[in-house]
Amino acid sequence: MNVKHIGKRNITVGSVILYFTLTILIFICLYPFLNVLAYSLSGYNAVLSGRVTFYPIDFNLSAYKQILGRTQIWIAMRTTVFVTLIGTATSLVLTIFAAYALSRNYLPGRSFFTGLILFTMYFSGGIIPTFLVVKGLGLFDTLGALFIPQAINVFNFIVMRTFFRELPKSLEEAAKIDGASEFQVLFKVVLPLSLPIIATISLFYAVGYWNSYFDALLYIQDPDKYTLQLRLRNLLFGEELNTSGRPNLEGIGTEVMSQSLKMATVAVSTIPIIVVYPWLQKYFVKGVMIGSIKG
Amino acid sequence: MKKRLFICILALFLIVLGISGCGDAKVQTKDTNVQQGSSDTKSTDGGTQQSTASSKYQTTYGSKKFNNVKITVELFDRSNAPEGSTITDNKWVKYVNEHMNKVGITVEFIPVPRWDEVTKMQAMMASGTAPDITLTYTYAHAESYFNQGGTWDLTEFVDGPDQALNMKQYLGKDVLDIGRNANKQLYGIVARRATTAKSNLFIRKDWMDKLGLSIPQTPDELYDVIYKMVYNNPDGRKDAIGIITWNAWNMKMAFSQVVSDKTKAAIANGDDAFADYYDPGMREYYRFMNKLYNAGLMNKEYYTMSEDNFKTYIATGAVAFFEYAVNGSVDVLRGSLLKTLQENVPGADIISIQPLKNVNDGKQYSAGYALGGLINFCPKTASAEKVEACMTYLDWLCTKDGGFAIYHGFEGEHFNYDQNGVPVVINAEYNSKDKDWIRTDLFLTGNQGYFATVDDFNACTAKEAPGYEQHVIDNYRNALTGIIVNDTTYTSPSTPDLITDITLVRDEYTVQCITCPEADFDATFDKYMKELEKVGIKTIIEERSKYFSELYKNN
Repeated sequence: MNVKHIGKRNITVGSVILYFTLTILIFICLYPFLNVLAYSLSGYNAVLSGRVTFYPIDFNLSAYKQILGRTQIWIAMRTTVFVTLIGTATSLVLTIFAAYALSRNYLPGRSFFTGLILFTMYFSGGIIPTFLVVKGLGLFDTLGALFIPQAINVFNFIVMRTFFRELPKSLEEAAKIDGASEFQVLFKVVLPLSLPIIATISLFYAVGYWNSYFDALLYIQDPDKYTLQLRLRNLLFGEELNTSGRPNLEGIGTEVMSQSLKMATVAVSTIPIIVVYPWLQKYFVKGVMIGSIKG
Repeated sequence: MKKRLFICILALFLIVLGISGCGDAKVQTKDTNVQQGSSDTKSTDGGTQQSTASSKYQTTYGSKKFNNVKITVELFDRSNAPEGSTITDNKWVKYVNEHMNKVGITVEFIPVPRWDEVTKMQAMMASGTAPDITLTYTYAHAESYFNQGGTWDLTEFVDGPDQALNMKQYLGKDVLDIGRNANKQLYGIVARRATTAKSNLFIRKDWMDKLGLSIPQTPDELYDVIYKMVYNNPDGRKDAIGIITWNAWNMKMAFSQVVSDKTKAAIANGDDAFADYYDPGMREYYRFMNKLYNAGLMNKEYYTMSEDNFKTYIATGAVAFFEYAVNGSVDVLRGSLLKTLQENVPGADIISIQPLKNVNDGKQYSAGYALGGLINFCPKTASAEKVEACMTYLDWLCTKDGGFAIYHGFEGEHFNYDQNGVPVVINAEYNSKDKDWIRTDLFLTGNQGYFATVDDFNACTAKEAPGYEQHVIDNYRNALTGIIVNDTTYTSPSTPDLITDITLVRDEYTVQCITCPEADFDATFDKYMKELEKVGIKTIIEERSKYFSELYKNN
């Protein structure tokens, strides 16, 4: 009876078409990921002969063993986790302070400072001048160079400032009447209401730090301080230079990695950050909803 | 008031004196350089002159004891250090320092991620943090740093008759001269390639045998052979592809009208578009490819093919004929295509063939890499003494204790000599963990290894592909058959600005020239030439013509 009821309610021609279409869409979206995983887990002949689609053929883990068997990868992973955690915390604190202060209408010189910050979104100093600044500040070859120079992302700052600005003023006024200082207003009233935006911005920052490699390339000399992405990129391409038609390259005698190794590298670099998503998902969705209601 | 006037005049006088003093010093230094340079040139030319007077800088390893000089040397990091070592702390770095400490030099290595070496080098050069020996594969960068005054003129460290003797012996004059600018100043030390073999034509031997065909020697014979292989396929394959040219270097040699002239061949080198425009023979090359395409002997969408797909077609036995890297058929590092093919299609075989005879003069020509590999240069942030020590280090790398040991290891541990005196690897797995991971990057004065001759290189390389030794030897021999046309390394001044647009035109029209109906070929090719002119190809050709006519005028 129950089964019949469910069947009666759910299985219609429309729903069959809908689910069928959605399943295909899901498959289309997932196919590139499945293909990456399948390649990374397939045997040599299958890969070179182009037989791999979305499931592994001649299952083997040698590509992962090659990557994860290297101590440098784990050192780099540790560095990246450290930079991601410390960097996200630093960025978040600075962005919150800047965004909160500049969201208050009564701050003198508010538009001047906002303008200064916005300016950097459109114009940057360029690689070499920025390098010289980093070096001048004594940050060259330190982990600080990986998160201090880019601690505040202007886009994230604007998003957060807009969010703070749209919080009802009466809340702040009520707190102040009760004798709260600016800091108390921020920590006890504004921040507890802003968890969705904090989670969202944290995720933006964390993903940014996790993926960053260029800063490490420029500012880091000691290989023990390389980030994961720089290591993986180096691992992936450093051995791959081949005769691509440019007379200046080494030509023969260089190493070429198999497709499996490339794909395993992609998997190793993306899976850890993908794992974080479900934990932040609820805040993320909520944040978007609040934005949409208010917008 | 008078006192003030006096002070002003005094100050002015001091300033003028200071400026003139600086000027004099500069002129003097410059003159000294010129004198030094000219006397060196004389002595080099004269041979025996000045043999008693030693040069200001002593750069032959062992000829001078330095007073604890520390030099920094760039080292490519490929993230491949084995367990227990790091790129800067390992057996070989210690080995280098053991030998350099004997002459009072300490070498500190500065790792640079291999793939991003140019970006990193530019940042380091601009900020004054570049190592004392900086390296790159892009000569144009090294030359432009030198022309801007950012790097040392190495002439006075190397050209003297008693200087850098090991380096001169190992590199040879031809390779050393690659690092000179138009004024003969030495702006960098270029590594010598063990072989310049570049590209090969490969064919399915089993199909050839089954059909009773012989090895094609001309483009027309090639056409007939692959036509039969595709339309009368011995394996009954309906998906057979007649030809794929991953690099068409040697194929183009068979049609070129300029290869026999050194100057013209150099002008046409550098980018396919240069040759397409400058070499009248390229029209016939594209006409030939167009004929193959219209006869159904090429993959219909060959232009979208990735290198991985290209290898897949070969490894699954679909391809009759292809052009690929010199040892592409059996190179372990390129995926052992032949081995995989034989697993998939038992009895299949791929061999390389000699270059096709040129349709104009009937001779065989092979494309070769430039004689030089990477270039080492010394930024001005290094003192003269450090540069002297750097050159001594590079000189040591050219010795048996230096480059040879770093590349091949030690007799009895890593290799044994065979009856011909060729070092033969004892245990490849041990070597790859012990030294192979770092050997190419430490050995800065040679590419592909320390070998006295090309034959030594071939014999030694063959040993590294067990089971396919003869294929390797044949591949390297075929790739250097006939007249070798080596790549040039010159980048003309306008090239960086124009090349992006030229490449776009080239990519679009070369595909059109090959895929258009045969009747439209000439019109399409003419349009290609016109489009190239629109994006400024003439400027580059003029610059290259001027440069190479000057360079080779005495040859």
